[in-house]
This record gives sequence, C-alpha cells and structure tokens, in this order.
Amino acid sequence: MNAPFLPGRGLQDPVLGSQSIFRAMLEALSRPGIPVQVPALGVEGPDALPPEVLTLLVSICDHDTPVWLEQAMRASPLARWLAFHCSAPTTADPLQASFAVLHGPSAPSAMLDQFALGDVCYPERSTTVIFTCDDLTSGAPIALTGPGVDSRVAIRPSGLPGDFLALAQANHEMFPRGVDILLVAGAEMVGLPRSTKLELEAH
Amino acid sequence: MTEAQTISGADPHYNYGYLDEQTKRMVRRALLKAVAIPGYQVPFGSREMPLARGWGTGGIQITAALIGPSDCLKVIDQGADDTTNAVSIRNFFARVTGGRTTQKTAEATIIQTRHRIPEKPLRADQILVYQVPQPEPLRKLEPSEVETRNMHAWEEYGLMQVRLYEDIARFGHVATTYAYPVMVNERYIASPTPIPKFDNPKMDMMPALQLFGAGREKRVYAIPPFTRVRSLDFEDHPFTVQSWDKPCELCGSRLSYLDEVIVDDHGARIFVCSDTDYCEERRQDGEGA
Repeated sequence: MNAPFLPGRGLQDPVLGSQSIFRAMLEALSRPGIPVQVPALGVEGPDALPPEVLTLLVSICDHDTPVWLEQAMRASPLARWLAFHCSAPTTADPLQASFAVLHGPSAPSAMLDQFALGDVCYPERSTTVIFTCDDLTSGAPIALTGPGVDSRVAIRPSGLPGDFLALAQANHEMFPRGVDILLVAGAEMVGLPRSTKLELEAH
Repeated sequence: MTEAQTISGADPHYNYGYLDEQTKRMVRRALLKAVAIPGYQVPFGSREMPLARGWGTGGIQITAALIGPSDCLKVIDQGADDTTNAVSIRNFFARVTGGRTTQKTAEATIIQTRHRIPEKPLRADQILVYQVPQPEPLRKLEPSEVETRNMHAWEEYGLMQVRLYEDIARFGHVATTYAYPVMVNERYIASPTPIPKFDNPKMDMMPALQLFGAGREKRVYAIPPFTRVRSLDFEDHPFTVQSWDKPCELCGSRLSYLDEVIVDDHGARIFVCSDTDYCEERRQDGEGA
C-alpha cells in the first residue's frame, strides 16, 4: 500500500515569491561565479532534495517543462509533490528535460553531456541543470571568465562528481549549444551558463 | 483574497504586473536562456498587450516578468521621460504593480527604453530593458527567417560586412547612424535597436544587464553585464560616433547626444540634450546658460 501523500508547502505567495526567485536566478546566470542568495520562502517538501532546490523548481517550472530526476527520486514522493505544486511532469529521458536536478554529493557522474544541448539553429532548446553541492568555499578553486564576469572570478565548489569540471569545460566548448548550470549549496547558488569558461586555478 | 492580490496601490482587477503567472514563467525561462547565449534571439510566445504591437509590447512583457515590489521603474522614449509612450507605460506599471516610478536615472532599478541609453553610466544593480521593433539585424539583407537563422547558426556574417562596405564605396563612410550592428561576445551579430550609434560604445562592458524585447517579432535577447560589444567596422574605416559643433543650448553639455529642435515659425533651431533627466540635473546643478 502506498504511503499517504503529504503535500508539504509550496509557494505561499506564488506571484511575488516566484518573482523574487526568478530575479535571483537571472542574477546568478547573468553574473556567473557571484553567489546569489536563494530567498527563503518557507517551501517544504520531500527531503530527497534541499528546500532551496524545491523553491527554484516550483517558481520556474510548470506543465510546459518536463523535469528530469534520478530514478530513485522519480519513484519517490518528490514527483507527486512537483506535480501537485507546479504541475510539472517528471521525465526519465534526459533529452526531453527542460530542467534537471542532480544531487551532486550522491551523483556518480555529472552527466552534463547527456541532457538536451540545443540545436545550433535553436540553442535555447537545452536543459537547465540544477546541481547541488556541499558548499562553494572549500573545494579546489575554479577560475571563471566570459560574459557576465568582470575580468575573472573564482569559485570553490566541493562535493561534486569527479568528472564535473571536465564535462562543464566540454559543455562550454560546444557554445552556442550546451546546458546551463545552477550550482546550489545551502541557501546560495552560482550560475554557470554555457558561455562561461572554467579553468582549474593553479595554486 | 490572498495577500498577493492586495498589494497596496495595485489595481486589484489585474494580476500583479498585468501578465498571468504562466506567461511570466514562459518569458522568464526565455530570458534565462537569453542571458546564457548573449546576442542570440530567443523566440517567445508574445502576448496581446493593452497597446498596439510596435508600441513597446516586447519591453513591457520583459518588464512585467521582472518587476517586483522593491523595484523602481523609469521609462524613456528617445531619451525623454515626458513623452506620450513613456508616460503611458510608466502609468501602466504604476497601476498594475502599485510600485514606485521615477524620472531619475540614478534612482531606477529597471529602465525601459525606446531608442536611447541614458547618458549617466548605469550600475550593476540596474537592468536596462530595450523596446525592439526589429530584432533581426540581417532582415533587410535576407528576408527569410530560415536563412537568417542559418546565418547566425554558422556565423555567416559576410553579407553584413558587404553592406557596410557598400556604404563606404558609395558615400566614403559607413552611412548607418542608428541601429548600427554590433558583434556580441565575438559570436552573434545583434541589433542594438534603433539607438543612435552614439550610444553603441555604452553597451560595451556595461555593468548593468541589458535585455531586449520584440513583441511583434516575438523575440527576446540579452547582453549580460561585462560583455564585449563591438560595433562592426573596418581597419581603415574605424567606427566613429556623431559629434556636434555646439554644446546643448540648455545645459551646455558637450558630451551628450543632442536633438535638433525648431523653436519658431522662421525655422530657427537649437540643439538640446535628448536625455531630459541628464539635462535637467545639469541645469539644477547650475550648469549651462
């Protein structure tokens, strides 16, 4: 028998709540490498994902945006929670995903090359990948350059799959195709759009 | 009624910001992709707005997707805060959000513009929203959308250089004075919208985010902050901007873009700043005649 579905809490103010989340996402993706606070809006859901990630999803997703989740999460109450709060369908096919969530510390691979990368004529038809990591301050420094970056900025994400940097670099090389990444650690997020060049910083 | 529907000062007959939430999410998702692909035109489902297409509906839809209670909105039309289009768009947002509006560039967090960039340098905490009549810089050279899309995809921009070269061959210089094409992040040629080419250098490495909305043509595009924006030119015919022999008649500025204004029935004319806020501020500071 299935456990009863517990809806938790979605956005208390769907209008201004999603507006403040969108502005944070826009800020993050237009200023890569600069940490942006994810506004705390009291969203509560299955603990498979941090509440900040749930907040991002219910603010920007709807019936037009299939969300890719790891298989275990798809089978968990998370899929029903998303459907209940923002009507977003979940998908098992990474190529169909408008958004994808990878729980960094437990993901075996960053998988960035398996999602929708867009077409050279329609590069916007690509997945936006929300990636969780432990923190943004204790890992090996990665230097970022590119549009939105004032000369150069460094991030120090930790708790990402070992192939993350190599796949993110390969993702940038495909520009204008490629996925766009939001790295979420606790209440902070950093945008890594496909336009951003990443290099391991020499000590 | 929930809290969201009773924001003080907002007309309760409309959703906050006029657009429905589904439309806002669609515009927002298009904008997130636009900043990730600087200069590339992202198609979006442009909606009917309560004014005719061609009157700034693209910019209005972007502003409606962006705006929140902490924002302060400025709207300019050809540099002026007090012309019909600017006044009605400002009043529209005051009505549907109950939010603050301003005529002062420095006070604004969102500046919606038709055909000018303010003279005062913009900051990192400001967003400039352009109203775009024709987002496709190659459209006059190639009427087919399929073709122009391929030209952008494969960076086949020779035709645009030929167009500029033909100007030089015929007139001795590039005769384009507004909507002068730019190369964004050395990848996509984009239209800066019909701003005078005088404003093009301000787009380069601007600390503010620049968003572009074309309602009739159903496209949005973006230039993130600190992005290289280069006006197309030739080594032996470098890009130059307009200059004037005389300063602004009202504030004496020699640095701003000037409009020619006829002041009587005998054809007498003066040159004054097109940016009304810049001009007024200088006069209040005791500059000028």
